[in-house]
Amino acid sequence: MKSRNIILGVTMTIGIFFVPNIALGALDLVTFSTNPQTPGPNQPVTVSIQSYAIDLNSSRITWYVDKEAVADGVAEKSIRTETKGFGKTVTINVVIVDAGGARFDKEFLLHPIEIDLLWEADTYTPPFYKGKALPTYKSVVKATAIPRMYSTADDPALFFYEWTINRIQGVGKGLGKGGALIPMKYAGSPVPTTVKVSDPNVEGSARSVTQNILAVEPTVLFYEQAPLLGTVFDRALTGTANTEGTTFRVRATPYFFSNDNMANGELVYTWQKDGATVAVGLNPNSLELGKAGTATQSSKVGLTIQNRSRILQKAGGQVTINFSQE
Amino acid sequence: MNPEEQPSSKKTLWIGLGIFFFLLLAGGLVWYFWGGGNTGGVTKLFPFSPSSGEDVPQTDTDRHEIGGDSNGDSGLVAADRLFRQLSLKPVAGAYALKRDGEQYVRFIEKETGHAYEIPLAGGVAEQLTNTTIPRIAIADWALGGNAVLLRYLEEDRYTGRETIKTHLARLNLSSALSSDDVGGLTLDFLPDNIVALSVSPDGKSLFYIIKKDGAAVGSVVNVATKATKEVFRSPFTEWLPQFLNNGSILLSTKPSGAVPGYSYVYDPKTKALNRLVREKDGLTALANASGSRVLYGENVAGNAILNSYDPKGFPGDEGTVFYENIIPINTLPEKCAWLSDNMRVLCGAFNLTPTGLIPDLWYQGRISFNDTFWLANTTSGDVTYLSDPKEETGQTFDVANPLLSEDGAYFIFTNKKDGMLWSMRLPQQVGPETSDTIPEGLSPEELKDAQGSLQAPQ
Repeated sequence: MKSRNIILGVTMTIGIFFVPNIALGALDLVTFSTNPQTPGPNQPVTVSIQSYAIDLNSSRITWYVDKEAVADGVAEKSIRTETKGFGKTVTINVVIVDAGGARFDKEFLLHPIEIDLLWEADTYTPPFYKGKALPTYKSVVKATAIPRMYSTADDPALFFYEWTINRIQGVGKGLGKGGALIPMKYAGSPVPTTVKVSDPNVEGSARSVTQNILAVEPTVLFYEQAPLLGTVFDRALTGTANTEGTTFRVRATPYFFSNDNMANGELVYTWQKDGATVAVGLNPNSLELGKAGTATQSSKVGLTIQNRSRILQKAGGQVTINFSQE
Repeated sequence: MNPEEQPSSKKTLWIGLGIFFFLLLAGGLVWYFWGGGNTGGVTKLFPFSPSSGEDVPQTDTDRHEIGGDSNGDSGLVAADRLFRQLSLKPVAGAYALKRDGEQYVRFIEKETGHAYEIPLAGGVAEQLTNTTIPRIAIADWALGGNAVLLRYLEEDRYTGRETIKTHLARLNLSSALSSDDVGGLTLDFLPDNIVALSVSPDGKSLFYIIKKDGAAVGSVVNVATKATKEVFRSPFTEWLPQFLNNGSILLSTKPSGAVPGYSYVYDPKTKALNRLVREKDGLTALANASGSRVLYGENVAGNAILNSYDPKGFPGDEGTVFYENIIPINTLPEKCAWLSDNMRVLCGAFNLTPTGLIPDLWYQGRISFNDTFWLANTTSGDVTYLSDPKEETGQTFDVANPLLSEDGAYFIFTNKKDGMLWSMRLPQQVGPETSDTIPEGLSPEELKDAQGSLQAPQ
């Protein structure tokens, strides 16, 4: 008898403490997700529910959008709806009745939110180049979050940001901290970068976006530098190039080397002409070739560029210039 | 000679002389009515004789004439030819205008910064200005062709550091257009190192971006008064702007083929940044002048795909609305020009996307396209094949900086392969009432076959 009382007491204690917790835990484990993760205003969006505690596949699920029933059925785990404009909320209510008859109510507030994660690498591209500067080994990338939660003119300084870079959380966080600096890894190694943005005055408003930023190898391209035309960036010199003149200036452009090292003169240019190393003048990024005599002549030009500070930033190339017969 | 033969020989002589003078008179009449006359001071005695493609320069050093009516083919006059080379030297930027009832193109020569004007229907180019600024990289026209933004690099001879210089140049043409005199440019400097610039479609304003303290700072300038106002500031700096007619600015992130890009419309008055296109790899965009529709390109599985985006949506089946519409030609938006209906575009398109990152390789000058010409309807997605320049001219074009003439009758573009300026006379089918359509879903090669082309695409 005494043992039975003890067992009963233990059982009741477990029941008192754990059953409510299980029920509460079941409610906590019903989570909502949207696709897209950050839907913009007036955008179609799929809203789904997930749960580890409730078998949704055998539960009857009823969805209400702004109090209007839109879906009802067993295993009805998602609906398609649309966001409203910025500043407006769609109220989604879900009633879940599991196979055992237990009922769970859950509410989700759907409002548009746009978070764009833009990044730019502090690497070199020539003036007027319309393409993106790409990151290279140990170059610095600046990431900028552009959030819009309530209007397209939201002040980014009013939001709270938490940055996770390369899976290291809390790398940068704070109110108005909408940017972060990211040191890159080796070429071909992506650096996952996540920013979580929230309105500090609104609970549950946090949303995250992630970008994988991939470093590439730097490259050197050759262009003709003509006296009156300037550098002809429209046409890179590859393989061989022909000229009818008696002189030809080859301009080398070191794409995606770090800007700070370039500005500090830390790039080492090693030019070769027909296999022999040649000295260059004050401006090492170009080499002038001349033709001797009137017969046809070819000059094979090679170049390697080495960043002394970031030693894996290195590139090389070669081109042959053919002077025609006069 | 036999006396009886003398009258016969005299008769023959008179007949021969009569035929000779008749031919002389006929030749004179033909020359008078259809010959060159005085084209810019060069009188062509034999207007239909083939030429080398270059006009003989005037000895008058105040005028330098290029272009011309004959391009070395069968001697067809300019109005008959589909393609016509407008410049003999690389061009930095062109502008189409109408003056005295005629269609013209003005352009800036890269090597000298001189401005020229050439009539589209035929005739030689006339030099408008003789203010020399070498190595012009980009020329953006404004104020109806009476002002131009000249952009070039100034290199420090000791450090090699390059500074981007930008002139706002006004053309002084008070006498140049009506006489043999050449005008000049009145120059104003804009700030150094303007990294991006766009002139509004009406030519009255321009928007430029400079980098300051790690941020992009954008300003609007009234071209006539030079009044400048800062209207934009962003910690992100890699923007490509396009100024629209309503004063808003399309801002697109600089593209790379494997990086997701974004396009926004920024309203300088409300500071609203409205996203139009999101997360498209290699995104490049070109809005129509009103901003009501955006042509954008993206990389999908190594292919350059062209789409149109309409913020109001395209009507679909059963009342659905979709916002993006695929245009089935391979090209980049910047190889296209919008027609005045703001619905159709004219494009130079390539047959196959080359391997490698697009548009990076094209911007770097590592690849060049051989374009054929197409008309596309951004609403229906229908495309119409227009021409293959290889068939018409024997050479290939890589279309850059395209624009339409003021009357919409010519497609004007720079050939990126050599920097020369060309025009293509548009066929009547490009007009609003006669646009041909062909079935959807065909590849550009199949479409070309459908049009009965005999030459296999390159």
